[in-house]
Amino acid sequence: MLRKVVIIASVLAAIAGLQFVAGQALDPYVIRVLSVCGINVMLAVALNLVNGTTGQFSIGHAGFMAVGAYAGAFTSVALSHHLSDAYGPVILIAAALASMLAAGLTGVAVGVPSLRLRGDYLAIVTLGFGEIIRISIESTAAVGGSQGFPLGAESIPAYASLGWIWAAAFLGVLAVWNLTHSSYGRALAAIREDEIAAEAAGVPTTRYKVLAFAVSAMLTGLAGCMFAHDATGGQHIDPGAFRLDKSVDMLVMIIFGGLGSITGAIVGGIFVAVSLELLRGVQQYRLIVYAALLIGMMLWRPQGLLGSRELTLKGLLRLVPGRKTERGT
Amino acid sequence: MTAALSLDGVEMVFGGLRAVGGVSFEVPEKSIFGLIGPNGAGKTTVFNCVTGVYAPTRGAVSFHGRRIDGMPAWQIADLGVARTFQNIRLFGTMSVLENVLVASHRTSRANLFDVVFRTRKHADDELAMRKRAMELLEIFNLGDEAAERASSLPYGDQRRLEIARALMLSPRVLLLDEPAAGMNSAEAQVLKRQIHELRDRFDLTVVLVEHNMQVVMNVCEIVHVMDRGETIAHGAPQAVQNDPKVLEAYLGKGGEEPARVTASASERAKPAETILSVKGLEVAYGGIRAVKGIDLEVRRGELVALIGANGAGKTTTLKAIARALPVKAGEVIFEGKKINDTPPHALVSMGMALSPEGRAIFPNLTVRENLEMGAFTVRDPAVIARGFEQAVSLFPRLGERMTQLGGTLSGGEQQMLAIARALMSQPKLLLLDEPSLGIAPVLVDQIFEAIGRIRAQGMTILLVEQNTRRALAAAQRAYVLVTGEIVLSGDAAELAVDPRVQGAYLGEAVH
Repeated sequence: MLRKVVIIASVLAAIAGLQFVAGQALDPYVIRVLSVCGINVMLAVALNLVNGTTGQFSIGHAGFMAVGAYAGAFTSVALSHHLSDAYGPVILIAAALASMLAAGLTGVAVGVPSLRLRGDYLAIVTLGFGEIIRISIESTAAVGGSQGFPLGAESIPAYASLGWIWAAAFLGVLAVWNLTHSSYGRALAAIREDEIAAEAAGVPTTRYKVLAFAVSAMLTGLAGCMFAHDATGGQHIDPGAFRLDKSVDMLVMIIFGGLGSITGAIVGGIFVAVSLELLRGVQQYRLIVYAALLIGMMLWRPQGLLGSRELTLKGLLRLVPGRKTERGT
Repeated sequence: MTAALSLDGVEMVFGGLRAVGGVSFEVPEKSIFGLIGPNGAGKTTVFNCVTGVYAPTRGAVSFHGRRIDGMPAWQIADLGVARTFQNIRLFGTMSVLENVLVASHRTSRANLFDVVFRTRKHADDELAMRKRAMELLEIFNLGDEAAERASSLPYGDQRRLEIARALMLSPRVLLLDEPAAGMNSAEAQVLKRQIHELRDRFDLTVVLVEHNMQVVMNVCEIVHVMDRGETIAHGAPQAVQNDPKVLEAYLGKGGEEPARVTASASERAKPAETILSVKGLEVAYGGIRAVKGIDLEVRRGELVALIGANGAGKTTTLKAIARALPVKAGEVIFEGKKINDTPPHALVSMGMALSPEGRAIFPNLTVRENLEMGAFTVRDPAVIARGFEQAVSLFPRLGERMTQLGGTLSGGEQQMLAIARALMSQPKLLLLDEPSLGIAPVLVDQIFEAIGRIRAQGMTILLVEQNTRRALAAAQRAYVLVTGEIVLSGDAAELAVDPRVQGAYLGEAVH
């Protein structure tokens, strides 16, 4: 137990260190890209829990991201009227909690009616819900409608610096990792493998699918919150950022990394952020090259970069030439 | 003493089809109970009604006196009714150990908080579950494979892993759906012993659905026999084995002997050339060898029947010949050409047509369109027109239903359509897979009459059929398959009176 606390504390300390170094030495553009990477990691790991581990198919996750972004921004804007910037971290944490709660509840509300469906039907229903969420926001004047939030001269406080984003990503991924590597995770994977057999083994499948959906929505909401507060972002959100193409982006991340693999989702999330930046060099052909890259990937490695396997330290060491493999001896 | 399980008038209707019609029986506690019957009898449907996969349309299912019909499957499993599946349902990409662990999920005391924050409770719980799972795996000799992918296990191990997973639920009743399916006789012997051991060791009531009569007769204490959704016999295995109704259900109707199409003297004198020959054919599903090196031959103008109990490998053989399944070893020669690697669609142009098991008609196309699809490889409109004429003259009913959607036909009419569709490509060899499966007897008569007429027109036919008596009456020669091997072959008329054929079905050793 103590060992784990130490590990978590030191990782968070390392992130704080990164934050410090970044502030001193890194180009703002690089910080921007790294921030997007952190947000993408959350999005990908969250979606992977539903689409990869549990084997359901959601293409409406942009909706949960929107709920998280708006709930978080609403909270922090309201709180910043009463609290000074010194309370920044407190405000951000409150916003994060609010976003997770709101997105999680939305996840349950969407999940209960739709998770009895399978495959393409589920995909269509989640797509519909995602759009309903976005359009509802667009037509709600209290959150700025299609103008975005907040209105007027106000802006969302930019508390989510690189360190905060990566700290949120680290904790979110850790929670999902723990959930996946437990009896809950086995139950979810069993649903993916064979629903009838999972029921016969005592797994209440609908309930567990909703659980996976809710947890996934929470982490997606957290990503949305960080996106809204991103110190390198625009301090303003509008419904246009949460269209279907955002959901498709998330799908690309997890399919690229390998459905069912958490480390794969992390790699996929970073890949999408970085490759889109690197391709800026080819200017107007950027999206064409990007699409071609994805088509090539699907042709040559349809299971994604990592397949359903996890990238582990042991596995990496096994690749080092000359080292005896554990199994071989 | 209350019964471990009791069924009272259980009925299951799918759409218009009554799969199970009012079945009642009691399974005494700690007994080994066999639920048997020929293909399509409704045995697995009864299992599914008991385990909550289906909610029965009518009737009651009780478990130790408590009503369980209509409960969700996971709840029934939780109460202590565990099961295995006919066509193995493991969590394929998960490890052997994880497969077993899934079933302990309900007994786990760690909640979501414990799991996410890795509390001591989670750790203790995980340790205890793993220990118990490993113990179970050791019992089934799977301890060394704990970290392997479940789907990589050989077939017999997969079956045993399914039982281990079921036992992880700490059940009081264990339902085994065809535990001996695909096992060879040595493996089945071991299984027989293990079922008894399981009952004693885990204090279980065991119910099994099984086709392998050898297993049923030796293991079960009580046997309940079903046919077409109804109970036809109940009692001790020996009594049931000699029940004429049971024999009829398994071997088809005896009654008046259908007219035999005898080969003419000239045909006998000069054997026709071989159109299809199969040498040392082996077919495997994953690790399971379903067909274990068989030889057979069909000569031009012949009707050859391939018969055997369910799971013997008949359909597998036919599918391998039609190239719908890969050939693992051996060769298939059609009209002098080796066709092991010929794609299935090319075979149609070469003159081989398959009327598949389960009919596989196109449900959303009309009867006419279905027939047109059968003539896909034919260019000449005159030939197609002739095909239509032939189809209608063979099956006048299809003529009346030309514009109806295939999916709206009855089972028997769909079978007629499947045969007629296969004939549309003007084949030289017709492969007919189980044309009587799940079809009302009166329509079976019509279909066999049509098969007789097709043959009389000079068609060569390889027939796979579960209804032995009908198949042997229609055929000139026949092969008898038992667990993937040909044990008997020869003149159909002689086989029809050979007591060894009955033995092959009812689980007596054939020598």
